[in-house]
Amino acid sequence: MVASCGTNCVGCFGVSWLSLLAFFLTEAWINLRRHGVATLATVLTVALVVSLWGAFALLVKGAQRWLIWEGAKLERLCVFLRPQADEQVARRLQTQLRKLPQVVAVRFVHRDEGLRRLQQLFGDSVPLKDLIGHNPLPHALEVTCRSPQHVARCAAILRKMPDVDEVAYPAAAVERFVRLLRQVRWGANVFSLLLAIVAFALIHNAIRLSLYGRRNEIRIMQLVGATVWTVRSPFIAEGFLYGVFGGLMALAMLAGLRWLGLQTLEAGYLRGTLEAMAMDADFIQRAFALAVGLGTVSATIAALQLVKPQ
Amino acid sequence: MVVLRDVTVDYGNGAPALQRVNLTVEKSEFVFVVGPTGAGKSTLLKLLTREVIPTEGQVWVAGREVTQMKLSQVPHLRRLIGTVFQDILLLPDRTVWENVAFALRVTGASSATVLREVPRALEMVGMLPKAKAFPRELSGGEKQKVALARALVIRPLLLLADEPTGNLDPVASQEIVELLLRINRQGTTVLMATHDWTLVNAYRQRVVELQDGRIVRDELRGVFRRELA
Repeated sequence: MVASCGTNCVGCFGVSWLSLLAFFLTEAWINLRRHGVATLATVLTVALVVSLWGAFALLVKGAQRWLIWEGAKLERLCVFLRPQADEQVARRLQTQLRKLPQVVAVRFVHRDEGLRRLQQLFGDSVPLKDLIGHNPLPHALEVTCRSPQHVARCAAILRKMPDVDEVAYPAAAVERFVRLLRQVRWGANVFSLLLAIVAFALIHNAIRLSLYGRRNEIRIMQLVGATVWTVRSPFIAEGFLYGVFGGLMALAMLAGLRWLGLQTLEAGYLRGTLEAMAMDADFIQRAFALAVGLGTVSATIAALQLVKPQ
Repeated sequence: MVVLRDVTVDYGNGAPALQRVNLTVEKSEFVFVVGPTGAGKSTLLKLLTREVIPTEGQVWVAGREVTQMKLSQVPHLRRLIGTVFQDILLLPDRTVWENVAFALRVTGASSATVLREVPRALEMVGMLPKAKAFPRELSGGEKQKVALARALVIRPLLLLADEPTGNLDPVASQEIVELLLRINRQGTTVLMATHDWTLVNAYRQRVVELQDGRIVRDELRGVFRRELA
């Protein structure tokens, strides 16, 4: 605000920042309504970018949480002995392993019990023993570690033992799965980035369209003494609103898809993952920040490029 | 109020729009700036709002040196100046009230200021009864009155009118000039660019005549010869 010139002109009226903010938002809202189709296309693109990002963020989170905390028993590993190792060797190894500081319990699994378990997996319709003619399984030991963090270390020790043929643990599978998910997520992020560029271009174009539609307003604004930022701000507010509506739409889409999935899927891995994909406050904040940030930053860049001080 | 000293404006497309123009307009003066199309009238007015920067010379408005002014200071200069044009530039999707209030809102004026100043400006031009009307419901003269109210609502020290009667019939033109004179009598300096010789001769105010970018005549209570229009 300039100092009073003593004439009671508009410069002496003072600036009400609240009124100015209301003005920006009102003008932005008028613009959004004026260009309905362009607005809808832009909001949808922002929503698509955020939904895609959000879907994969939730999927990775859900898969990790379900697998780690509810699914597999990650502190366990299974030690398969060499085929020539007999029960005596297995019992000796069992005693030896119990002494390891990382280990809580060791259970001997006779090769016959192993086959019975395998048979249970396949069901009675496939008689394994009849098909193969003999039991091909070795004796095994089920080792329970103190925590999932000890499993990899314990597995490394076991693999070095002469009578041990193979060490399998669910954590390895989980790690592989999570790694795969991360790769898919990375791909999704690249796709999201491409969509973000499209959203940026659409927002840029929408702002250009608004500028053209509002050239008279801009001329009037400049002539009555609006600062360059006052002229730019309604367009930035427009981008902000694209982000707000795009973000809300994305969250609604994600919540809707999750609800639909829960209604249709039966109990199992997918449903477990979906149940763990809850949209918590942190996720909602991040998704909303992404949408609003995308809208506001794109619009600010467009306004900086297209509205110059005059 | 306005001082131009040796001002030249050259757009680089032929002859300069203004050549070594010297002009002083005192506070509360009313000046008709006359001359044929392309004489430099609009350029002269645009110098005062700093829409045009002179190639040479200096321009002062209300004690501020406009030529050297920082870009960030230009909006503050423009808040001292009201402007009306031949193309009326009303916002078609807003009411008369909203069009006038727009000029205040962009400067961040409070709602209380808007509620106080908009009716005052509309009252001055006799358009308060049509505050809720849209521009499409108004005649050309009424639209120009609304544009004038929008220029007045900021309580300008200086009012610039660039061919404000260019698209109006004689009766409406007369109304607009009488309004400008009334505003001038209340203390606002008015510069009106026109090539309407009937109006200039009817009201006999100071006349500054431009031809080919030069001031060729500056007369108090002057006239405008028909053949020059």
